[in-house]
Amino acid sequence: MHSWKDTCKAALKAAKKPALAFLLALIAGGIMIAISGYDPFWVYYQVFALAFSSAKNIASVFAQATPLMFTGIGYAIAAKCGLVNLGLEGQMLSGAMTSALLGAYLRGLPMVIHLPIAVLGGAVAGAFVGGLTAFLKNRFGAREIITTVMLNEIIALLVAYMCNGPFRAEGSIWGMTEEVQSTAVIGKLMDNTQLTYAIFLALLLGILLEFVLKKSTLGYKMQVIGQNIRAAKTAGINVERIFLISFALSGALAGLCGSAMILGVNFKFIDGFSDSYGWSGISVAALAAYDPLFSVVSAVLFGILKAGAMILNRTSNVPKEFVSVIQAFVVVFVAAPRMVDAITSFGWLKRRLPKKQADKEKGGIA
Amino acid sequence: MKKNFYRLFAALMLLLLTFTMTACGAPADTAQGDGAGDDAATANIAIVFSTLGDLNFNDWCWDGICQARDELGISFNYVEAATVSEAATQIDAFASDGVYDLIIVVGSDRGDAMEECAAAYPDQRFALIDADVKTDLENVVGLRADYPQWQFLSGCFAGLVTQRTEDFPLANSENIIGFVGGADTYTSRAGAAGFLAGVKYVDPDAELLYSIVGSYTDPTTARELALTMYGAGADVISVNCGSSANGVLAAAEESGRYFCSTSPALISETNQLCISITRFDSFVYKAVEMVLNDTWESGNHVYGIADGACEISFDGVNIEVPADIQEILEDIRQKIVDGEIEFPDEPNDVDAWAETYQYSA
Repeated sequence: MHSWKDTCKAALKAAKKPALAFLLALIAGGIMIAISGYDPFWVYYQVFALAFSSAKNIASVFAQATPLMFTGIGYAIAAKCGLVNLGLEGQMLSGAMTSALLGAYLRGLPMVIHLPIAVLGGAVAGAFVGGLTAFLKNRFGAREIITTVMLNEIIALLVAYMCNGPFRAEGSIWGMTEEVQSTAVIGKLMDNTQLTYAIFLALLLGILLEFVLKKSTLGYKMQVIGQNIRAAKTAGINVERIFLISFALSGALAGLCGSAMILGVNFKFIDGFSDSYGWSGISVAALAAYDPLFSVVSAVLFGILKAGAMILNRTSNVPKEFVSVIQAFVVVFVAAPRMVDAITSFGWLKRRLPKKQADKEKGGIA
Repeated sequence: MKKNFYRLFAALMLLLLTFTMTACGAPADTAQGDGAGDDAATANIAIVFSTLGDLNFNDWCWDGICQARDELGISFNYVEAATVSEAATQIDAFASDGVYDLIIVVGSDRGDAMEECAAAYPDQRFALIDADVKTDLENVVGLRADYPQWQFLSGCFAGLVTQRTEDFPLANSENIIGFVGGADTYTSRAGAAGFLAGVKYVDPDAELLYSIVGSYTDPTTARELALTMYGAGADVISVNCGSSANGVLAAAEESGRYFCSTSPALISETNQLCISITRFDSFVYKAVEMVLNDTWESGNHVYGIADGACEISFDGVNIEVPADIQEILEDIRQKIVDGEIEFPDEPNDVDAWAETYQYSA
């Protein structure tokens, strides 16, 4: 009983900063909404109310959340060992293209073989790109922040070339690949929605990686590296190997995001199909305090925002870009914890807090 | 520390709750703000854009639907969907609402998503702007420009300009005109054929240069190709190569020769000759008319100069068009309206075509 209480307390404590960051981001987004001439409270109310107003809309929430789950978990798993994987977008695109090609050009296979191959192909492609970054980091000391961003650009152009050039579907005006075979399609959970079985894969991977991180030696090593890389090296942990595994895992998750979108939703690689799924993963993971399982939850939260904003954009003229603003601000506020503290302990709050405690709080955070 | 956090959290939650409560009572006045008066509405249209504010395709379509609202008295509801999967969701949502006489989808990349939805809602009509539809469903139309007609008038103008060095200071004595295409696809070749045919139509002795960049996003190669053409004596080059056209524009300014573009968003201040325009707004308008006038005919519809879908424009172009040239262009336009001209759709066919079709006042 007591330990359960402790766990709860610990969870609440851990949730404090992300919750504050999200709240502040909502306020910042609200200001933007107000500037564009709409009532932010009405908008937020509508977003949350509309997102759950029908079965189809609820399906839309989870459909929007699915790609974010993959990339969110992907970012989190790299972040846990201190790596910044800004290459999710490129890894996602490479996974998407691989799945699209495997899905379209492998013929005559039964679904039980074809679908796993197409999905795994996407994961492997993502893992390869992620692993490449880790290789460059380990072998040549290249900072992953730079290489991932650069690789994004290279891969984006490469896949754009592929779907406009050699793999362009016959007779298509727009750059897109041939449609995938029916044996490589991820089934829909609900007709006429984009909710597919991929969401279970995301959930499963979230749980699995949470378990790996918390209960396995590998996860322990990753956390140690994340907290203190020198200590990890002194303790004899093969840091480079863990980097490679972590980056490959992260890339595989991003690649799976691409697979899920191609095999479940678009059925072909369409030039420009991505709604920045990779970049959104950063916000998702940040809000989840870089925890794989919480990433699933925070992806649903962003799914609500996105789906709600889409419905709102249809029924009224509120621009749905405010969701991107909120997403961006979440990252800013999570990345700058002291700013959140400064904002939340500002002025009236500070006067009301007993001085001793306020000092303690300051010290605790610094 | 914890206590303070809870206090703060409670306060914020309370605040949020209060706002939410007040918000519940707020009137939903912003919803559906775009329709004209409901009593005047004769049709209810839904339109799915990709991103408004592009000063091009989407904004043209926006003008078209607004024109339809003002002139035909329809009401409409619109949504922006940046990606194909988002568009699919929105198209499906509009279709399942079941209150729209027509759902217009803007963007050739959304065709498959639209057709998939159209199969699921056989009683809902759909129109795709700027692309062909691939199904033979009864409830689907595709509207686009006839590719050769798109630049035909610009070709005629270029052919006249190259012979009139006294009126056009950047023209030279050589009778050479170039075209830079983006890719070796039917669409791209047909567009080029239209322009080159236009040149030959008024200037049968003109020498034509035709090059393909091989990419819609490679201004460097496009610039080299254009510089070669200008170097060989071309005084006008037209393009159909996406953002590679920036390279042609740069080459025109370097060489001091004329440049024709296909977008009002890409014009040279000093070297622009004209702009070939596809009136995407007219497609939207025509789709609405099909529903209103009960002239719905499923399948693909192709529009040209006679339908007002393809135009030559001098908006923002720093050039004076002599009155007699204006008359000739208007005369040619009239001949097309009268159905006197058929257009070639392969650049290789242009010479043979020009033996049959020659302009005479």
